[in-house]
Amino acid sequence: MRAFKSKFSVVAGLLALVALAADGRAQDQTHDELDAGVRGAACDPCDVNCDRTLDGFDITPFVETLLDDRAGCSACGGDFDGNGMVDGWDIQPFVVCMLAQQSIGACCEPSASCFLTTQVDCQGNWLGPDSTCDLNPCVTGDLTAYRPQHGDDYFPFARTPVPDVEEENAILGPGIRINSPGDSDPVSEDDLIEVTVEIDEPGAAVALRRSSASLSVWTTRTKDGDTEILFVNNKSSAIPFGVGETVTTVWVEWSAATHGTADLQLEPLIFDTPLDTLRFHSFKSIVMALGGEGQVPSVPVDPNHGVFVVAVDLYSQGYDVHIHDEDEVSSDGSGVVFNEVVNAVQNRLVDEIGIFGYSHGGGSTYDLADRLDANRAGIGLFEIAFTSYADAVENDSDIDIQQELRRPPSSGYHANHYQNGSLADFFLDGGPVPDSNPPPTGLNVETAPWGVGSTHFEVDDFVQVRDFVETNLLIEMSP
Amino acid sequence: MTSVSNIRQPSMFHLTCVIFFVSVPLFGVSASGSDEAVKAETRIQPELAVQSEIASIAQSTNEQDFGDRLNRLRNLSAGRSGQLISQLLHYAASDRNTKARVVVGRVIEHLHLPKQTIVHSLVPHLDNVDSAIREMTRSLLRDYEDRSAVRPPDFSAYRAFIEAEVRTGKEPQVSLIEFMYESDPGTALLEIMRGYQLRDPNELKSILWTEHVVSNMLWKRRYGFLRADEVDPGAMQQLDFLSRHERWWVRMYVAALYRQYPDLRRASVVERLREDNHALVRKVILATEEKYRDSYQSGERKEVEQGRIND
Repeated sequence: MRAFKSKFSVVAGLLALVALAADGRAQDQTHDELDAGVRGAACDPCDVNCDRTLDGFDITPFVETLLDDRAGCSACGGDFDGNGMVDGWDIQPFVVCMLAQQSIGACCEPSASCFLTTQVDCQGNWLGPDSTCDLNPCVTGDLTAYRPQHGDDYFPFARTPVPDVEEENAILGPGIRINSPGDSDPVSEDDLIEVTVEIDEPGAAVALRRSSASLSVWTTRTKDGDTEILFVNNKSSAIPFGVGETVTTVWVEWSAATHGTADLQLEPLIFDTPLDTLRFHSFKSIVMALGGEGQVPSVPVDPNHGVFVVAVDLYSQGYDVHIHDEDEVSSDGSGVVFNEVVNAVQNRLVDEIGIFGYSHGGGSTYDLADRLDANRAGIGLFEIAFTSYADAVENDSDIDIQQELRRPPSSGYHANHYQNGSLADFFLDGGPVPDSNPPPTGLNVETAPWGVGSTHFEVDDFVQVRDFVETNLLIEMSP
Repeated sequence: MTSVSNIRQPSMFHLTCVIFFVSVPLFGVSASGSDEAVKAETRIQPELAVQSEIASIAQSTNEQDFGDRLNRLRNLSAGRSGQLISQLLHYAASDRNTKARVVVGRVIEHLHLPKQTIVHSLVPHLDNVDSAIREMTRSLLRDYEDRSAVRPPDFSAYRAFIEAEVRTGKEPQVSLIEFMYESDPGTALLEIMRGYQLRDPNELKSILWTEHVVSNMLWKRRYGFLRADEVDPGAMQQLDFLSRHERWWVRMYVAALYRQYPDLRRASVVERLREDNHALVRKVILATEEKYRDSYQSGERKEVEQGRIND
C-alpha cells in the first residue's frame, strides 16, 4: 500500500488544474460534440471526459472523479498508474499531461505553411514541443525516377518517368544497373538513374534518406569530381536547388557489387518525416531487341517496327531493354550487342537474358544466342531465358534470304511466328522452328484468321504477335 | 620516291634502293621500292539494260513472270557473270530498300554461280570509289565466309584470290588483306601466308608458331582459363618478334591484333609500328592509338572484345 503524498501537494495540484481548466474552456470548441460511442475507443487516461481531445475540459471530470470517487466515462480515465482507481498518485501524471498540451511547436497546415502553436490548436501535423518553423519544415516534395539511360541520353527510348503508383514497387518500380568497378559503358556513363526532386516553394530545405549505402547520389550524370551528395547516418545534407528554383535533378547510382533493393526518401532537412519514397531494385536481367533490315530505331517509335514497339513497352514496364540494329550482331555473334550482354553478366551480375528479333534480326537472335552459349565458360553463369523470332531470316549479309530455321541454342523459351513467302515479298520468309511456341514449331500466322494472306513485311506488326511476345517474356523473365 | 628530301639525303636514298633490291626476291611481286602497293580504285558503270532488267523483276506479276524475268536477266548476261555480279552490286548499293536487296539475293541464288566466281567479282570493289558500293561489297563477301560462333571464318576464296595475284607477279589487293584482318587476324594471317606462296619451312614455322601461341592465349581468355586481363608473356614476346618481321602483312597481324585487343599493346612495339614502312600498318596502329591513348597494359584492362572500353 503506497502512502499518499502530503495534503499540500494535493491542494497545489488541484489549484493548478483549476487554472488550466479556465484556459481550456476558452480553447476547446469541441466539447459539445462528445460522442457516447467513445466508450468503446482505445482508452487514454488523460482523456477523462472521453471526448477524444486532451484539453481543459478533462480537468473538472478528473477532479470530480478524484474527490467523489465516482466512475468515469471510461475504464481508464484519470487512472494513470492503472491501479483501478483515481487517486493521489494520478495527480502528477495528469498535470504533466495537461501541461504538455500547452507546449508550443511548429504546426504544418495542409497548405504546407508553418506556424507555431499548441498541439491542440494545430489543425495539421504538429511537429512536437519546441519545434520551430525555421527552414520551413512543412515543405512538401516529390521524387520522380526515370527509366534507365542509354549512352549519352535515353535514345532510342524517350525519357520515361516511373509512374507514381509504381515508385515503391520492387519489381515494376525504378530499376537500376549495378555500377561496380569494371562495368563498361561504351559511350559514356549511363548506369545512373535520373531522379528529379520537386518542392512546393523555393528555399525549402529538403534532404534525402537512403535505406542502404548501395545507393550513391550525384548532382552530375557523369559523376564529376566533388558532385557526390554525402550521407551521414544515411541522411544527406540539404539538396542544392538553384536560387528561386523548385526542381533539381540528382543521379542515383547502385554502387554495390551485389543485388538488392533500397529506398530513397525525400525528407525535410530537419525532420525525418518522409515526403516521398522511391524503391530501387537492381536489374537482374537484360533484354536485347533486334530490328529487321532497314529498320532504324526512332523516338517516337515507328508503329510499323513491331519489335521496337514491344521493346518500348517492356522498357516502360521496368525492364532493362536495349534496342539495336541487327547488323550490330555479326554473323559469328560478335559485336557490340554481345559485348553488352557479356558486360552485364560479368560486371552487373545479370543472369537472365532475353533476345528477340524480326527478319534479319531473327537471324541475329540466333547468332547472338549461339555465341553466348558457345562462350559460357568464359562469360559466367546465365540463362537465355527467352528468345523470339518474327519471320526470321538468316543474317550472314544484307541480301541473305535463307530462312532461319534453327532454334537459338540453350534458350529456355522460344517463340516463333512466320508466314509463307510469296511474290509480294519475293518469297522471303521464316519457317517452323523445332520446340517453339506456340507448340510445336511456332505459329504460321497465315493459319490464323487475323494473318491470312500476310507478307514478310507485316508479321512483326500484328498486335497478336506483339502481345504474344510481350506476354510470354513477362512470364519468363523478371526485370 | 624522287622527292627533294631523298635527294638531300643520299644515305636514305641509298637505303631505299637497298630495300628495293632486297625485297624483290623476297616478295617476288614488289613493283616499287616500298611495301606499299598502289591502290586501284574501281568503278561500276551501270548498264542500263541490265539495271532495268533487275528492276523489272520487282515488278513481276506472278510466279511464272518472276521466273521468266530472272531467266531473261541471266540470258542478257550470259558469259559475263562477273559483270552481272557487279551490276547487281551496284543495284543493291543504290537502293537501300529491303525489297531491292531481296531481289538481288534471289537473282544471285538463281544464277547458281560458284562461290569463287562471286567472290572474285566482288573483291575488287573493296576499292570502289563509291562508299555505298564498298559497304555493300563488304556485306556480300561476309555471306561467303560461313561465319559462326564455333569455328573460324572460311577465307579460302580470298586465299585463292591472293594466290592468283601473287602467281601473276602482282602485289595482292591491300584492301582485301585489311578486310580479312578486320574480322579474324589469326585466320587472316594463316590464309595470307598460304596465298603468298611461302616455301621456306623455317619461315612458315615461325609464323605458324606465333599464331598458335597467340591464339592459344586468346582461347584461354575466351573460355575463362585466363582472366580477361591476363596475358601470356610468351605470346607478348612472339608479337614483339613478328612486329620486326620483314613482310608487311605479318607486321600487319600485330597491328590488327592490337586493334582488337588493345590491352595487349606494348609501347615499344607500337612505336616501331608507327614508323612502319607500310601505310596500312601505320594507319591501323595510329587509329588504335588515337582510340586507346594512355591505356597500355598496366594491370587495368581497357577492352574485353571489339571496342569495349571500361569506365
